[in-house]
Amino acid sequence: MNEQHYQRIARYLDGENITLQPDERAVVEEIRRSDALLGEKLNVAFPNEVLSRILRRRHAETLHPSRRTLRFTLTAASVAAAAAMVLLAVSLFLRPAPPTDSTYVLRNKPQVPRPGANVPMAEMIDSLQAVSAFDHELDQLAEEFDREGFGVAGAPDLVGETGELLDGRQENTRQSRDENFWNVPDKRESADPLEAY
Amino acid sequence: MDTEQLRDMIAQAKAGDARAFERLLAGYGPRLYGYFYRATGRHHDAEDLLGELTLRLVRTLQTYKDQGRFEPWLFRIAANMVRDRIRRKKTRPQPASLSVEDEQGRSLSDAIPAGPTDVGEYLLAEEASESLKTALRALDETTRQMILLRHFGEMSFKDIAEMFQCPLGTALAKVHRGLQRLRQELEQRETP
Repeated sequence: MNEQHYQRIARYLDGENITLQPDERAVVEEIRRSDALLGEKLNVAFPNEVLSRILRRRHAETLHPSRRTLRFTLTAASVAAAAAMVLLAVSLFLRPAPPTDSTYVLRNKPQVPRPGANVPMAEMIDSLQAVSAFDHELDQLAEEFDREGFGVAGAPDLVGETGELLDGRQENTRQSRDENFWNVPDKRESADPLEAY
Repeated sequence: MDTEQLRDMIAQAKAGDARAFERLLAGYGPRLYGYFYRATGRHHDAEDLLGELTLRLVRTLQTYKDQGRFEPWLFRIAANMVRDRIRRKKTRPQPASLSVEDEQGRSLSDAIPAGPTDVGEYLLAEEASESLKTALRALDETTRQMILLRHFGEMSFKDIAEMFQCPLGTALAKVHRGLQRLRQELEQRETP
């Protein structure tokens, strides 16, 4: 008898319609005889009180599901809340601070392509818009400085160099001097790429 | 219990009908108890396992998809529980108690005289049961489980082969040899 024979016998005993060879049929008969002999012996008397005991226990168990469920839910909610708090704390701790120093702002100033550079028009327009926006930001920054009294506009402009109060004529002279000072052509201005456009 | 009746009972039990569940348990209880007793050799374990299976059934019956294969499904759960129990027993010592049984399946409470009974009949039944228990213990664990599941669970060889993850022919060969061995053992013990 090999594996194939046993397989055929198993399929036959499972109810398939298979024609068995004589030696296979002998095995089937032997198994059936053993089943008949041992069947009765294997059976066990089932004590009636066992079932009633089990059912009583089952009723007792099913009476308390709400309390157990509530306890489980509360525990799960506490754990979830604690985990959420830890996550929140970690994310706040690890979040990078926004840059506040002016060197960062200037370092990140948008650049415009140099005149004559072989740059597509769309890219050129984007660069110009970025520079304009950056200039707007700088203007806002300057206004803030002025408001806080750090800029020229915030300084007391009616006080002379020696601390005396200036009248209208002296003030005009000072203004024209200041304007002359500011009107001195700056070589850097000619290097401003914006001028080329 | 015919197929239609069983299907109705399962559907009602799944819907939460406690009476249907109890009828289901009453229908399969004796066979499950017999399987547990023969597999563990102790009445105490058999009752304990049947109680545990009842609770598990309450929880898992919802997941059962009725395809007319309730018995293999039920006895598969029972077989897994027996396997777990045997593993646990091997690793954990048992506490001493009046109801805990020894290797022969006798508890200390059995030694306390009960009421009047037919002593001769009791002794004969006890002796036959002991012989079968010893003969079953002589088999290896897999063969013993296969024979018991086929008898109590009325499982097909195909189901048994699937459950033990072995070829169909191997399952039949094991059962065939196991039955031969059981018969020999019993004949030896019953011959004066």
